[in-house]
Amino acid sequence: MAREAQNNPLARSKLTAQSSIKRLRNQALDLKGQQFPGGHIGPYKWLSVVIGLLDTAESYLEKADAAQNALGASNLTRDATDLAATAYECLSIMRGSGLDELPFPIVRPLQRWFRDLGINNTTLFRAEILANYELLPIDDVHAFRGIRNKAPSLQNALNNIEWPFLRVTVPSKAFSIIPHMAIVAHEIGHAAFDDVAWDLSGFDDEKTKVGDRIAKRLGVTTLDSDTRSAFVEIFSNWFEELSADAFSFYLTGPASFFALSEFLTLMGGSYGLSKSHPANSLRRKILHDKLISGGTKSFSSVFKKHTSCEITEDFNSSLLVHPPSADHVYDDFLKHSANRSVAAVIAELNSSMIRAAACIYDSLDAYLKNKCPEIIYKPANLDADLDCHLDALLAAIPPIESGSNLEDREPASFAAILNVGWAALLTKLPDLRVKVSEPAAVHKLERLHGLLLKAVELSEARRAWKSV
Amino acid sequence: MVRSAQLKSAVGFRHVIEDGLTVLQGKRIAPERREFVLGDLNKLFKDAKLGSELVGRTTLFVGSANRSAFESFSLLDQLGQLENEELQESLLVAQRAINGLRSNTPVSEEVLAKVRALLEGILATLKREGRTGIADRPRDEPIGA
Repeated sequence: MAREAQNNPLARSKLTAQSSIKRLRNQALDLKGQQFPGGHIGPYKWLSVVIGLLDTAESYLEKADAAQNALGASNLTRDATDLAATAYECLSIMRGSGLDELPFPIVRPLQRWFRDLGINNTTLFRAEILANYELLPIDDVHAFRGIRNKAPSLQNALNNIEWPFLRVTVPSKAFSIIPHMAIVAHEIGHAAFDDVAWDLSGFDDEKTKVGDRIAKRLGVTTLDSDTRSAFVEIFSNWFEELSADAFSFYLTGPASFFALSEFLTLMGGSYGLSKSHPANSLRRKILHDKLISGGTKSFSSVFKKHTSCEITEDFNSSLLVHPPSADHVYDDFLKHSANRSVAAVIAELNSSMIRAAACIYDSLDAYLKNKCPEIIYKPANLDADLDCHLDALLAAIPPIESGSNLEDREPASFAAILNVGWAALLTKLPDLRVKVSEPAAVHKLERLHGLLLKAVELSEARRAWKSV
Repeated sequence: MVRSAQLKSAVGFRHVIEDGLTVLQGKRIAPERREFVLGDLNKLFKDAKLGSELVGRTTLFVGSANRSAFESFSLLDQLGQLENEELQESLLVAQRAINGLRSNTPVSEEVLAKVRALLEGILATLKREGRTGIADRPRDEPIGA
């Protein structure tokens, strides 16, 4: 083949494809031999798809050798090359999923959230050097399902995945301490979003009002199809973001507020409005309103009881930027885009989303209480967790388990670890009794992160031991 | 709304379009593959039609039942196939033609030609754009920095 390739362009292409397939196969097999964080099976299933694609590509090349005409051989070679490129892209999808990037213990509790919510999709967790948490669903419909003459290994690999395949991205180590992992609950909210029967009837009046304001801003009496389309897209995006925030609130309580507020501040100085997200301050306000609701039984009251600190809206996010007036937002957006419809929708919709939030929390409350009430993190849980673990954590004892009787001790939940971690981090860090090389608080924060990581690891070990 | 990442010009999708054209040209294709391809195309056009209606309506919210419809519409939109003014009609004609072929009901040559033109347009775009791979969701830059 190599000699033939010297004089024949198609043979050269085949040689290139064969070489790529071989190198990709070696890389995929190398990865399959590695251990992934949490011993998670998702990466192995994904790698099986990669290998199946390569098997299929190889079968195409064999058929190309036997093809009766040059066009057939050329098409098969092109398809083999495309499949090799697809396999390469599939490998890039899992970049950052190894042990170098993601702490081993962290994946199991995150995966348990999926399981407890009945989300059985195959998942993959990875870290990226980017201040970003993201859920990327990957569908098989157009990517893989239509491939002709699939190798049996590809068919099996595709059958072994619950689609859409879900890739969860968290920031890599530098931007990712354990308490921030509450934001993953937000991403899980995206995954569970379609399962909830959202009731938007409470938003009907507000919808009319927003539509009227948009029309007035655009100087029209009726919204045209472009504006209606922008309205649907932006409202749907924002609604889902606020729903995902609500999921994180129900799963992690105050940790969701602390993590989101801090993360949005870390993201930079913008006020956060875009086609995909409502304003940062609105998201924070909605979560804060939930924390303080319930009077003496609220999360806020429980937190104050244990820490003597009132949770204010800007508790750990004093630098968060509020959006200016709707007129200003409209002008700002037009500086970035000439699309008046989008600018008008964004400018007018933000202030109305607080009404949509009420619908979101009502629908989600009903959904979770019916489906998996035990997953809801309540003020009573916070009270018990801070009572049991906060002082101990300050004495450098990680929150691993709770219960007075040695026989009945329960492993600490991930939500407990997150909330005790935040309470210590935001209100008690100077009291953390650990040795640090320098007195700066930042060194204590690193030690706290280490203690919480140990808590996740040992609580998982306890859980595994308990299930034996 | 979190949309699925799709290999819009992936081999699988291209194969379905190519094999769809083979069926429309009356050429031979394995019966199982024929059924699969026509079923896939039927769903694509049906969903895209529903998606285009959703965009046209005053509905505010694309729920789970309509998610794939919105995505199919977006896919054809990205592939430049949805700019004609008779969009709804084109998608309806395409869906009916595909259903006719599935049930071996005669479909007029004029209708077949329209559907062929639609698929050829998609295929040409797929080939012209090359393979773009599994696209990450485009990051939406916030304003107000």
